[in-house]
Amino acid sequence: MILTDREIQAAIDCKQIIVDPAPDVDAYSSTSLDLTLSRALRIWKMERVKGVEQIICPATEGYQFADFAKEYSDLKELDGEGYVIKPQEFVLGWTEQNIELPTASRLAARVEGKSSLARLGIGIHITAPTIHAGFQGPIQLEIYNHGLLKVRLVPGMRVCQLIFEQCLGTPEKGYKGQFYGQTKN
Amino acid sequence: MTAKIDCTVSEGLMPNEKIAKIETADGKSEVVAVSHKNIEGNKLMAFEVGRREGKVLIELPRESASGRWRVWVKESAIGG
Repeated sequence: MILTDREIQAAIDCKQIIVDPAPDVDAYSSTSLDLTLSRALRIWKMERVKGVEQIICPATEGYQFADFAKEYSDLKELDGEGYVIKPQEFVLGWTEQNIELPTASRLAARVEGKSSLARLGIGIHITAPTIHAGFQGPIQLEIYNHGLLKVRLVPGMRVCQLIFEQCLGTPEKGYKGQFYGQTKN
Repeated sequence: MTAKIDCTVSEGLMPNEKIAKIETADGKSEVVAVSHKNIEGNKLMAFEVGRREGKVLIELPRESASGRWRVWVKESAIGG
């Protein structure tokens, strides 16, 4: 069951959902809450060298996405000019807001794109929209430009929306997976 | 509660779509593509969700071009 604006606000008021900084009243729609883009972006530096094949094998024992990302991307701190994402370019971003969904709240959420960006070709996740019960941290965004034109990403812009859903029951344990407390470093 | 907001109307990208441009309380503009059913003359049919200090928080029928669903407008922008 999807929470309406009033239910989201009530859940925030009683700390069943923690959004930091707290959202303004105009960040809500009837069934979602808008989040904004933080200053941090990770820009991939995948220079292609002829004859050199680069393959990622996530199934390798000991593989850590963070190690790969640190080696093959640069952390960029955006200024007011933002970052221009080119067609077919992929970057990692984060929300300005920290989100917490305490396990006892029996709530989960989905991060979804905004139609205002989608119609420009900008997607903000790649098949992984679920924010599990127990999640803590800023939400990592897999931003891809499917469009034909360059698009400027500016910190503070409304970049995604959260849709909250009620869980049936309480999970046996909190979400403590690899991406618990997603960080920008 | 339904609120009729002053707007400038132009044609949309497809038949039955209209582009409504409204003025926000801080003097900026928001542009939203809506169904022709959301337009009455030069009024955009939206929903009032709050009031504060002479301003009205409205929810638009669709997300605006800037990504907003809710915007503050002046009370004077709302009329029957």
